[in-house]
Amino acid sequence: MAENKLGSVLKPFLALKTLGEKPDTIHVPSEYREACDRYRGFHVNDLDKCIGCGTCAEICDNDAIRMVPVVGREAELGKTEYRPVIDYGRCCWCALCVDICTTNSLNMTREYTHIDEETNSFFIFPDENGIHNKKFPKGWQANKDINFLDLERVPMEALGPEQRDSSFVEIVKGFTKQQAQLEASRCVACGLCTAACPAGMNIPEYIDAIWRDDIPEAGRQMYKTNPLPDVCGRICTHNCETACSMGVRGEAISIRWLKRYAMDAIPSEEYKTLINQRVVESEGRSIAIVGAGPAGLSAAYYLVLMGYKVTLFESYPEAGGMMRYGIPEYRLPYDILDKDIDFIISLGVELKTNTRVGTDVTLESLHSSYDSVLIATGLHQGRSTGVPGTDNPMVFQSIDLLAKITKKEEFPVEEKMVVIGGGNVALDIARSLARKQKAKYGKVNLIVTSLESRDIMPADEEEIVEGMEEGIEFHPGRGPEEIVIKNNKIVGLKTSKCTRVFDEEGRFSPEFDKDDIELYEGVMVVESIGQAPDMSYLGTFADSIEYDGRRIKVDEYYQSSENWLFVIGDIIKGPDVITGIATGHTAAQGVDNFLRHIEADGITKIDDILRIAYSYQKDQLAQITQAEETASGKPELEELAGKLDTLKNQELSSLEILDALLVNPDTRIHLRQELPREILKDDFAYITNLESLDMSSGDTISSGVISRLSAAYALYNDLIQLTRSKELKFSLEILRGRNDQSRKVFS
Amino acid sequence: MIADNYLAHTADPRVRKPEAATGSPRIEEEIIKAIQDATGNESFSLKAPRRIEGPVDSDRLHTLASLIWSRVGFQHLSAISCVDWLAEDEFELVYHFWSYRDFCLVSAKTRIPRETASMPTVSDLWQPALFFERDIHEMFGVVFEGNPDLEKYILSDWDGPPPMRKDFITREFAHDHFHFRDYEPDWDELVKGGYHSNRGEGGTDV
Amino acid sequence: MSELVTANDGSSLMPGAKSLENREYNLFIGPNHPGVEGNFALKLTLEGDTIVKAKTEAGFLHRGFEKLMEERLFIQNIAIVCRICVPDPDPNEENYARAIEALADIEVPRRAQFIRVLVLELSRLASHLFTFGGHAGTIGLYTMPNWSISDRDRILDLFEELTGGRVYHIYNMPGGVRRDFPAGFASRVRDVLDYIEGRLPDYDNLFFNNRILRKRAVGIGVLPRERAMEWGTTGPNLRAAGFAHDVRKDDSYEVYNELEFDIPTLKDSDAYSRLMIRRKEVVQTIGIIRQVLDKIPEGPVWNKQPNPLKWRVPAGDVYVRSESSKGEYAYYMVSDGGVRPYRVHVRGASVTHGVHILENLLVGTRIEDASQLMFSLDACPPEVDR
Repeated sequence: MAENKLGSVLKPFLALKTLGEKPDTIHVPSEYREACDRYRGFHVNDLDKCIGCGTCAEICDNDAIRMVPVVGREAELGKTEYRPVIDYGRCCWCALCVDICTTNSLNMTREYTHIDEETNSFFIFPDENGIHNKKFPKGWQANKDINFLDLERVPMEALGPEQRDSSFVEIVKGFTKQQAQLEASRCVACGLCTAACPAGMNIPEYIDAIWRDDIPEAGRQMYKTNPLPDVCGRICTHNCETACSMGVRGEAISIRWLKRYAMDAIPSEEYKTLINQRVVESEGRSIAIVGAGPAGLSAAYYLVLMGYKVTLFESYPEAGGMMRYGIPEYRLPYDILDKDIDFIISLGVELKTNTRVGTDVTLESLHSSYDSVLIATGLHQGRSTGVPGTDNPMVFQSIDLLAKITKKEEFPVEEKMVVIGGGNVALDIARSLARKQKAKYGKVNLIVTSLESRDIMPADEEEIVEGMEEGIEFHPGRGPEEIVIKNNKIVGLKTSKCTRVFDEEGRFSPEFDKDDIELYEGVMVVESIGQAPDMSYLGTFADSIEYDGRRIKVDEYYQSSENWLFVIGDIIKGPDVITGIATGHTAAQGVDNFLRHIEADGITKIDDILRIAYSYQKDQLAQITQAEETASGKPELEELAGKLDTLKNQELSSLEILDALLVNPDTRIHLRQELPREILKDDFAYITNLESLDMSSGDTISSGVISRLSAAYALYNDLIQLTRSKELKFSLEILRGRNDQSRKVFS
Repeated sequence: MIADNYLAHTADPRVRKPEAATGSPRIEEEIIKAIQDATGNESFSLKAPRRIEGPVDSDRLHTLASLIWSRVGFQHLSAISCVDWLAEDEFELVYHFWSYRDFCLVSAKTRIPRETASMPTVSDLWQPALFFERDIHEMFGVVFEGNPDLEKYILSDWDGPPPMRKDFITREFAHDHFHFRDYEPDWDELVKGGYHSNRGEGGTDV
Repeated sequence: MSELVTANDGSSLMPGAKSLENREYNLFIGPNHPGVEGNFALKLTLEGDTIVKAKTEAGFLHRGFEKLMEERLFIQNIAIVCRICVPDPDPNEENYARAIEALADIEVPRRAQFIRVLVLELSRLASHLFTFGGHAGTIGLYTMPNWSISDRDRILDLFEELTGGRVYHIYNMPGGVRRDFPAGFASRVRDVLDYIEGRLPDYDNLFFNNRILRKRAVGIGVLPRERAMEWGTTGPNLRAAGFAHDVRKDDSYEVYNELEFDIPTLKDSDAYSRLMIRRKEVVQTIGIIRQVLDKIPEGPVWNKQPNPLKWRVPAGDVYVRSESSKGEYAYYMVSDGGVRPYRVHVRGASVTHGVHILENLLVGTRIEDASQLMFSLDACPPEVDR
């Protein structure tokens, strides 16, 4: 390379050959350089596709993304009202948020210039148009192959059709530990599930506990809102899974199977370690609950922990209600059900089975013997289609047959049977009867017919598919016309084609084409088109109580117009096990309020506490402003006016902080932990009992303000005590610091 | 000319290449044996290809380091790392030696108590140790006896606790010692229409 | 010291002008100075034009990465780790990813390994072009930086196409890389390589064979061969002292052991040799990239890992080494089995070059060569400060 050790003097002049060449540089802004296809530019967000799950905010390593509630967007199943807002002062454009977006709504364009004097304009609310409303071409997009999220479920092993079609053994085998941890690791903890669950279970928390292999913690989280987790782990209708953000592009997390895995891993003896309710002393009041189904058992659990004496009345031989007498064993084994029920009973609940309220004991006697009564009798009457022939003895109600199966009572199992109905209960009885048929005759000949066509059949998809595997024949979209009877024996069911089930407004209004007739052969017909309650036990109260349509009118705590009577479960809301559990929990709270003569607006949410602090702060600010105006008018109070002005500015900023806390979902997520104790408005009486400022003289104004400051200081202290959130603690520490300064102003 | 002057300026007659650094490359098992023979420490083991590691008592470390240099022939001190095991109340110092003859890394790990964290220096053997130890001293608070210069290097104006320690929590420290400016905008206004400067659309027209 | 002759011997006006305490004076260069690479302060004591004492001072680029990395999840760290070294960010990303892969026993697909080598070598090329410009600037030959920075821009364009970012790529992930080649990428890389290769004779004519450079750089800042290893010299500086050591060959990683390249060495160990070693490495690098493009197999580019918000890396520790454009670059990562790294120690190449070696070599050089010395060692302050 170096021919001449000294180097050349003239050769550098060869560089002059570039004179006249086109330069590499471009002149900005008259020339625009388009970025490449994958450029990580500014964000855009499809606001309708975005579900507000907050995963982008969680992965951002600079804390640049916040979730902010957007006016006009409501929370619904599977969506929140929050949308991301990005602080471009913190963003480093790493595009991790785009890669992990659960719905692929957040993307990037090739835009890269933003020059502005207004610093607030560097907070971006990405929408479909980009921050400058100019349609820039797409930049970095999420990629299907290189996908951060696991979109597929860990498959659940289940028995094949040959293994299950003649026995009632449980179909689903359950997760192993490895499978459970793998499935739990898919969760992004967005919280949409908690919002969708009727009982508001702390789902991300228990999924996280399962992932960390801390099974007792998972159990504890479940018991906060659900005393029947074993049951729900098997048969819950899983609204959570419907709302799960993973389900938007892939398969939802198997929350129900994870719950089952965790509860199966805890032996019965350890259940009592899972309770973490604070027991509130009662004065030994007694409560009667009519019906030991999910709602009744749930109410019993929470009430007995509150210290009440609870008696459960159950007309069936065993507790469980629809869980035992409606759901077949292959979906919910009886020993699992017993595991949950025995635990609740062991806490001190008195269970009286084979006791029917209305006949064995009257509601009036319950009213006089007990301080409060909850009715949770459920829907155990079957509805009939009423078509000709339904009075034949070989026409049964599914509810009755399901109960007979559980009670191990005999009933006819024929070689050819027809089931009318398309819901889960119809599938339950059909699959149970198919098993019995297979066991007795060696083959299945069972037809299920429903008004609804296949695509709108209300039963779970997996039930229908498994039913088909077990040999059941489906004829959807047919309406029952007549049960054909010859010589007092059923020959079959005549059906017509159902052309429409719902009308334009979605009301139930079926229409039939009577020319299209099919006959389904069968010697036994089972009707499963709906359930109704048996409220005959209401007795004299049936006239005095208020109704809302066909149901009893209740308030938010399920208290009826008879203030000692609460109505819970399927008869008021549902029909669903988890809804029943939720109503039981809420009603237990209502009973407690009622018996202790507490106002129904006891505070249980930290949001409400923050709002109280906020409104108090606003009121204080108004008072200080008024005092300041008064003081500025009078020359002898000039000095005071200045101090009040300083105070006012401090209050303004703490108001802003409280405002930010209220909208900040990070605070909410952190504060989703239960409050360590029940919080009541009385606890903050020192705020509400403060006297107004006396505007007449400077001394009273300043002392009045100081007393308000002391109250504020106490409030903030209480708030810090109440919460374990570091975020809130830091913010409140700052507030406290400001108030220390305020005190200095006045001392 | 200047080069000659320079050598004279830093006259240090030590020969800076141990004899054991020459020769054909040895496989890892031979190196472990050589370490055993030279230092008497039998706990070194092979962790992965070209990676040997072993524990050393803190009072034996300097001897081991100098024997690894002279008798085993490892010429290069790649780094000294410090790990704060708060739960065990100890600091762990890891010395990484690289051999240009054998192409193998030997990591010697030693533990010292957190309270009286101190260690003799190895900068008499390797010059880079001057910087490594100085860095560990200002970040963790470990005193290296014999190191001529443990002045702060990176954090020259810092008078707080050594910041890389696990009990120094950055966020709490920042909240305790600094006032934060409230710089967030009105979220509702932002969501509705955003902020715009008086220039109009708030962006250059590119 | 010998008698100093000053142009204006003011000893008649100032008695004692020649006493020792009046002969030495302090001069601070930096931290904001075009003559230092990055933000770095040199505190020099001079006697006349000759430096007699030198102390470096860093900390102006301390961003606290090692502490930051302990507070963030493993996935979040890939966005910040590239910022530890500004001119050559890719060894950081690659070392971080490789450390996690070693701890968690994750296998990287072959195609991803080839792509990583490609990105590392392109980054090395860009960094060397940057250094040529910087070195030339310290001597006053300003055409060279204009050319080399502009040519480096073509490499940055390639990075933009491949990774979405020009300087900070955030491209390596534990398990592979984030995206595959865009269509036609290989041919565009070849075009850029051909272009740079075609420019090398121009660079030689302009700069490397320039008499002024030879006069200024030959014999400056000689790093004594016997001291090189004791002082912890690595990388091109070590090769300029005559030792044929390169981490890519000695402690091979990714697919370097399947690629053919030489390790150039020179004997003089002065600033000019160090510069020429980098010039020779440019040729080697272009060869490596060409081989990668020829040999790259098809296949996936990422070994799919589960939900990154819940990555747990098994407990353990690992020391991964690599060859950055500046020297030996190493990461020591300790994990306690959780979702965040327990300790990440970054050993930049310049912790030896930019601190004590620089201080040693500055003594005895003249003030006009101080900047050149720093650039010839390629001492990069962001690596020192982290």
